Amino acid sequence: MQQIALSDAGQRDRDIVELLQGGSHEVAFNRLLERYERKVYRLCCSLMRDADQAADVAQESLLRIWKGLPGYDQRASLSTWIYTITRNRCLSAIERRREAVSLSDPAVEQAAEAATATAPEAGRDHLDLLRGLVEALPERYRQALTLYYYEEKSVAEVAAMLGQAEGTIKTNLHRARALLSERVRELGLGDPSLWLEEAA
Amino acid sequence: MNTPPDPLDGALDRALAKTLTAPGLPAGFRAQLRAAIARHPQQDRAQLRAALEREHAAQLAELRSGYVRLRQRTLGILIGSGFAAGLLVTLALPWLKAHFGQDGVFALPAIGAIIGLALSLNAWWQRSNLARALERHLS
Repeated sequence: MQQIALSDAGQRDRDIVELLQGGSHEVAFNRLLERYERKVYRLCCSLMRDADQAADVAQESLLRIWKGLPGYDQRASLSTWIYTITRNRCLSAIERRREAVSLSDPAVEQAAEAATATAPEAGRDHLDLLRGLVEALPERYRQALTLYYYEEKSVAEVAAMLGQAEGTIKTNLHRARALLSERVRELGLGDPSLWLEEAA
Repeated sequence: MNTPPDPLDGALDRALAKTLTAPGLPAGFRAQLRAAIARHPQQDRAQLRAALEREHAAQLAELRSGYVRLRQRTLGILIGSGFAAGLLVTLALPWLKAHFGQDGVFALPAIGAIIGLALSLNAWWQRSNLARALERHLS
């Protein structure tokens, strides 16, 4: 399990910062891409819930990062700066999406409910069902949980990506798991062997 | 005393690790980014500052216009309510006096108080957890 302390983030990106200080913005950006491109995309996937939109917002974020790179003043660590830009872009995109499709419309609400319906269906395998249950979790629990598994169970990395304290992430993960266990038991799927077979 | 770990938690953890696999970058992602970068030259510090200041000024202007709209609407509602109340009193008082005598004057504020109380109770009921719990129980 990879555990990266937040204080290590500055050390990890020292080479990029040195390149920026030396005016080698392009080389610095290439290195930044190697290190953060996938993480930015995964963060967008987690926040946006839609792979196509996540790709667009990740592009927008990285473009913004590229344009703002000469103005990076090191007040925050590079990773914090990158994730903040990405989160802000995602929030703006979510806001635009919300304006385009009014959620107060009852028909839209019904469609959204149907899309995240979690009732077990015939022929639906357990992992699909679990995915549906995760999608139906409250937003903060879902984001923490998906990023936790995307980032190889690194609480520190999830905390950095979401801009929250590690304690908050641990609490949200705990509650997310508790809710999932509860729902699984309610659906009569509380036998661990069912899940171990699927995960094998 | 530590409680033994729930076997279901461990099994779900393994299933989640299998379900929530990190999505890979879409094909052509880097090429699209390079093309976008080529279209948008990097801004220097002064340009970036100017762009941010413009963005900030636009946001402030939007906030101010929203605030003015809100104040105008509130003022409109207050003036409208005042006129409506005055009109109601003017029309209702002679009728109340004719039907209930001199004490009829008190009927109007009493009716107003009852309506106000009913509206407050309705607003409270819609927001209360008790109502939601009751609805869930009944449905």
